[in-house]
Amino acid sequence: MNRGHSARAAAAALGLALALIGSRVQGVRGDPAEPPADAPEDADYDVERPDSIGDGDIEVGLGVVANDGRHSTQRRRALFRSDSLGGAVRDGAGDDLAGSSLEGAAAGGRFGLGRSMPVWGRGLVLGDPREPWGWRERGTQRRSAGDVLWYRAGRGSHVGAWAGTAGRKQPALGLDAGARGANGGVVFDRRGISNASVWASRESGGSGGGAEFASDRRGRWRAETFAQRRDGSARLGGWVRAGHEAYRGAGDPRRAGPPLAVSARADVPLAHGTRLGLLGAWWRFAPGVPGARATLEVQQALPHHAGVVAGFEQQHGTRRDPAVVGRPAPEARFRQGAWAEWHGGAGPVSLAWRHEFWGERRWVRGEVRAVSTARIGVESPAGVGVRITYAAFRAVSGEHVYLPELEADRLVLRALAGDGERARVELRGPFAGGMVEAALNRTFVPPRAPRMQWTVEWTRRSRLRREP
Amino acid sequence: MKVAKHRARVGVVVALAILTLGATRSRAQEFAPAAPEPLVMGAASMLDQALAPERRAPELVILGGRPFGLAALDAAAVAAGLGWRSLRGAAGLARSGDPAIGWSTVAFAIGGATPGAGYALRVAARRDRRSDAAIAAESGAPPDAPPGTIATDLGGGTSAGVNAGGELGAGAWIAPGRVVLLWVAHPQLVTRGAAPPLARGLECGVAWRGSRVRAWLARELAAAPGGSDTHRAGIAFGGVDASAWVEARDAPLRAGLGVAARAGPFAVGVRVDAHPVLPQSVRFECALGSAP
Repeated sequence: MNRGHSARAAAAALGLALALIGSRVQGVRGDPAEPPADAPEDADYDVERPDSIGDGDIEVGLGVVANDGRHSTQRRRALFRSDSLGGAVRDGAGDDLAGSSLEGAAAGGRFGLGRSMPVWGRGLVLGDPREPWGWRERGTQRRSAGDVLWYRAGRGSHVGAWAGTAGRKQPALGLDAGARGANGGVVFDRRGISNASVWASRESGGSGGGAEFASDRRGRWRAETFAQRRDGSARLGGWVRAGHEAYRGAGDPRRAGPPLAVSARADVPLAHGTRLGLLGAWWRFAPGVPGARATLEVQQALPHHAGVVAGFEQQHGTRRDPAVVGRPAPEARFRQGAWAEWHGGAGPVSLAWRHEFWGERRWVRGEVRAVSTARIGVESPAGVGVRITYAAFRAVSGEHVYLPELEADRLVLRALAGDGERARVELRGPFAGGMVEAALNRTFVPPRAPRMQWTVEWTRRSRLRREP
Repeated sequence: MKVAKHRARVGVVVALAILTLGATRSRAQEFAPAAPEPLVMGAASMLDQALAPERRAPELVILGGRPFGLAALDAAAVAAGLGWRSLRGAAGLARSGDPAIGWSTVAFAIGGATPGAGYALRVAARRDRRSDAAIAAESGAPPDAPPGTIATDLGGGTSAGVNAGGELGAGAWIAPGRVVLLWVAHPQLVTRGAAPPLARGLECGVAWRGSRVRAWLARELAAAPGGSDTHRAGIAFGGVDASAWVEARDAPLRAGLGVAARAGPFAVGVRVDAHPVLPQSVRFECALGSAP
């Protein structure tokens, strides 16, 4: 009890101190990969890779995936972007990212269709509210489920409308308007007004602040304010949220997040190529269901594009809302973790190594999970590349290790449990005017037989129109 | 006849127990070079750890050793390496142990190397030196068992095993700035068939290579669940013509030392590894090839 209280107080104090500095950090590489709190604990989690196509580009991809090593399924995707229209279509049996979206400019404004979701303010009503414990802004979060159609017109002042399911089963309609940074919006469903929100923000050169106040039809409210500062390559930020624990926005209720939260992050360059990353967060889902996270990470750049990363973290409580997951939160969950990473290369060869371990007692004792990963990459001048990744992991019952694996169009956080190893061989090379990427995975957790998975994906990118 | 059979069984059990309990931490394999990787990379290191040599001149290596002072485990191997442009290749044959418990090994490795970096894949296949019929007769397996599958439970059980196996591994190293050497290698990324005599895990290492002094530190992950990771650290003095090194390991704590000398294309090296429980292991190496 005392330990939890002191840790919570320490995390809150750190968070408040950093919040006073005022900043937002987009993310520090090297921190442990983990899915968002709404993802199932024991399942792989796919998230779209950032869209890298430029104006006038079209990308087509075909893939075959065999998650059990035998039965394969197909994946197809197409993405395009022009100066006034962009869209994406993904299709595949059992593909979590299947769906389509279309965005573009029309009639003096912008419109969206499909899984392309508008965001109001801080996402308390529409969009995904931030997770106080997250390093990244939705960095490992999928787009919300559900389809919507939206339109927004105007620049200095604007009006907008959307209609769709927006992550809920019931359809809804939203109207919003704003001028000079101040905005307001109302969401209607079959029973009338379901949510209303006002928000304002002002940002310039990466620095600024803002706030949102949202309410539902029963008068339950939630408010959030943030401040951020960018000075050169230093980024500082923090935000505070308060409100009623039963409040839910118009989006996916599993992503509502805690009603009480404070979060602060900093990414500060020091001397001689050193960067310091800090995260402090405290939150509470309900009385007696708190959580806290404090992270310190140091990155050091080395000659020849090499670098080392070392970090330490302490966690308390839960990140899952007991009201949503339907089970009580674990009591006084405490974790301490540490990690170290090195990467470098010479000529055609690149190497990387990482070790991460977590304990349930102070000073990372009482190990509950650990993972060591090494990667060898070889690139040829012709564009053919081979990469071999090997990971040895240990996780006690109830714990999972997540290994990030990049595929052609997505990042997969591979959930692993038990005491075993995973080897991944990736081949990449030009083929039929595009690039083909193949990966073979072998997961071995004794006494079970090794489990094979493989993927083959072909991607071709071309220009919609020729350069003048 | 019965006494001879009993002795053979006891010998096999003792040797396997040593291999399982003691040698798993020794890292000694059929093609393990006498000198540690940070000192010399050649055909032997390519076959043993998938660490390709930077030099491309042909090399012939003869290796031998007596693990833990046991004559029944005497081993000998021959390895050859060759390079063309940035490609590297190596092949080797080895025979370990006496006819009752020994095995034969053939290994190949292919990879590439450029100044400051190298990578390789290795493949090794092993087969017990005893015939299927001999082992089947001892273990009580049916005489019509398919070739290559025999009962290995020498305690009289009936579990069927295999007397041949293979492994595939990969490794790479980089030397940014030439002074620092970093390597990652997993000699047994995939195994098939009979379990290898020594289970080996992922090894990552770093070395500092001065003109007359070299030092290294490496960590090898446990190859089997529940095992402990091992570390080794060493320091070497001398140059290409003559060098001496000492190396310490943990789990259990022990040390090894060795010397190497070169005269023109001829090179020799000897290594002695101590063990807190078992007798010393000795390995020697004779190489013919240009200096690295």
